[in-house]
Amino acid sequence: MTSKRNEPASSPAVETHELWKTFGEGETAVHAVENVSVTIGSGEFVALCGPSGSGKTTLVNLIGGLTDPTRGQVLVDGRDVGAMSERQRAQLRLDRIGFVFQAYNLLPVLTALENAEFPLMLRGVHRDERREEVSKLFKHIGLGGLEDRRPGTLSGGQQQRVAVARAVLGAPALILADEPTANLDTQASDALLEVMEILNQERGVTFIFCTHDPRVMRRARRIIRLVDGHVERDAEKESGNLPSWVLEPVET
Amino acid sequence: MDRGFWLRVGWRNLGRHRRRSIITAMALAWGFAAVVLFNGILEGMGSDFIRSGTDLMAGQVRIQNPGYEPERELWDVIGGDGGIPVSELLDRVRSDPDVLGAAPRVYGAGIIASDSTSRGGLFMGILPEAEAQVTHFLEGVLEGAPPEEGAYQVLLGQELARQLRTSVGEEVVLVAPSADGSLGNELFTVSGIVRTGIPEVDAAQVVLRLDDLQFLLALGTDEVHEVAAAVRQPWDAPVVADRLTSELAHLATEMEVTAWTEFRPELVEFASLINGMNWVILIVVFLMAAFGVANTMLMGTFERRREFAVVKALGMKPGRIVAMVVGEALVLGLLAVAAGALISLPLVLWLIHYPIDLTSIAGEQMFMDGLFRFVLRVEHSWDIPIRSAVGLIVTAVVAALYPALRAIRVPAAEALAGR
Repeated sequence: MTSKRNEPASSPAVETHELWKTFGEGETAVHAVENVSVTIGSGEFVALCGPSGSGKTTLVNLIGGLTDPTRGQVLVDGRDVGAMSERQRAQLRLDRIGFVFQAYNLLPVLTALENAEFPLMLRGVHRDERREEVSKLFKHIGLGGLEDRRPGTLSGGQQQRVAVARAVLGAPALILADEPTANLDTQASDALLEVMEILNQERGVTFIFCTHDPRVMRRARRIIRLVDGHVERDAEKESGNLPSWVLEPVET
Repeated sequence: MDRGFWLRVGWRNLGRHRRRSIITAMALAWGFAAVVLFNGILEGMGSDFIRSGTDLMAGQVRIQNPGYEPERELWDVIGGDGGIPVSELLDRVRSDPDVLGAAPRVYGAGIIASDSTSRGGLFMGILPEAEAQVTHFLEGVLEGAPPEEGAYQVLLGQELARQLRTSVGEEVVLVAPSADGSLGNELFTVSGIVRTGIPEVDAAQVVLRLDDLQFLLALGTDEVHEVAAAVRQPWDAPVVADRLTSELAHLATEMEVTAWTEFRPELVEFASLINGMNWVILIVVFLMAAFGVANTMLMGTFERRREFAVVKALGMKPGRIVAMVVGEALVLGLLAVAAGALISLPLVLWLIHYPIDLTSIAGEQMFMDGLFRFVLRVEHSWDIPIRSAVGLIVTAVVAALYPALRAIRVPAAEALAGR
């Protein structure tokens, strides 16, 4: 199935063309992503929703080049991710993409500051410069004074903010966030989403969220609903209200 | 790129499984200590074998007439008419900074007769005071003393004296073909009995004063068959020989300077054997160490699949992931070297300064024309610990390559999903 919304809001940050991802073979084959064609413009704030197992995470992984499509094409900034070598994909992620994971996925042996500055270090940014950027952002998102703490000593909300800081530092063009608020309380979720909205509005960063969280979907300006691996609905949203189809149960 | 950062990360990752890391590092450390100790002992034994083969009678460098070997004709001498005076030659040899001493020698062969019987003898004319600076065989004098100047005395091998049924103070007659074709003979008094431990030598050796044998063989007082020299380090002998060759090249008398490595090639082969054994020990121990490191790193890689997936998602390139894993192994190797040095250093220092003499258990052994005493000692050498440390670190790094390759092959999406 193709998307009902194919026209990009601006120049496309992400395009998928007849994208398939199949696990297993023969009778046991499962199509996690099934013939998905979507175009996401630069600066969009998109929520991917749908029931568990609908293919949201797989789609995000395909966009980020973390897994190969079975068929079809993923273009990020017009470049075919599937045609890239592992090294080229790593470079693309380093230069253009930030990831925020549901389980935070901070590196336990690094301090909060070292976790946040990790991508900058990979880019070869000088120590003083990256420390300055991290400190500035940490103060802004309420992590000031926690720089030297290891992830195990931080709360879930603090860890997720460090993960967001890691994703946004260096201003990537695209941030892929997989259930970023799933483990957070309301207050922490709102704080996190505010940071992301600011980044989206002030810096034009494109956000693609996988989410079940209505709070995230309310803030999104476009919602794509996946069911059984294909795009069931794709619509822009004007107000803070959620369209009724977003939370509709899946028809069997 | 912040290299110190990666070493810190390696250190911290090792700290996550402290007991496992300590056990692996200690296994490596003991391996390092064993290699350093055994290699040091083998080097010490090898060095003792070489010294026993050169210090007893041969010397480590010798200067001869180029035609003297292998026939050893009496008239193939150095010095003499038109040549350099032997005393000047000795001075020049002794002036080399690596030469400990130099001694002139004259050789001959003939018959030695006592009151009751006669035997064939190998005659060696020496200056005892000079010889003592080059070889040790005079330390084996059992009775009496080395021959004195102007006294017409001889020192006999223990077995030869027994066969001649003679003893210190008795007279013997030496008969030998001379360099001028005549037959020289002379009456001598036995000044002492010597035992070298080498049966062939003890059954035939007759030691005279240099000038006495020169007279018996009708050689001039400046004509000698050989000048033997001892050097500070046996393995420096070829360099010293080359230097002396250049130094003596302009002299009228043609001379050949050779090191023990040329005239005792079997000792060189033995040294190569020792070196080969050292390498075998090194390879066996470090091969075992490699499996230990590979196991530790592989377990770490499996346990941290998700973390490798995360760093891949963050844009870490495959080469850098390899460097991260290898960096951890490098830290492990450095720790093991430090611990190994702490373990081995006291033992090594002890055996350098206080060798354990095992002669009372193993006795003295004849080996390659030398008398070998079993002394457990370590040869002081920086080569061994440096070679072992580099070997250990390289082993650790190489052993980490397979786990590192596994790390870069972690399927990011699956690992992030916990599959």
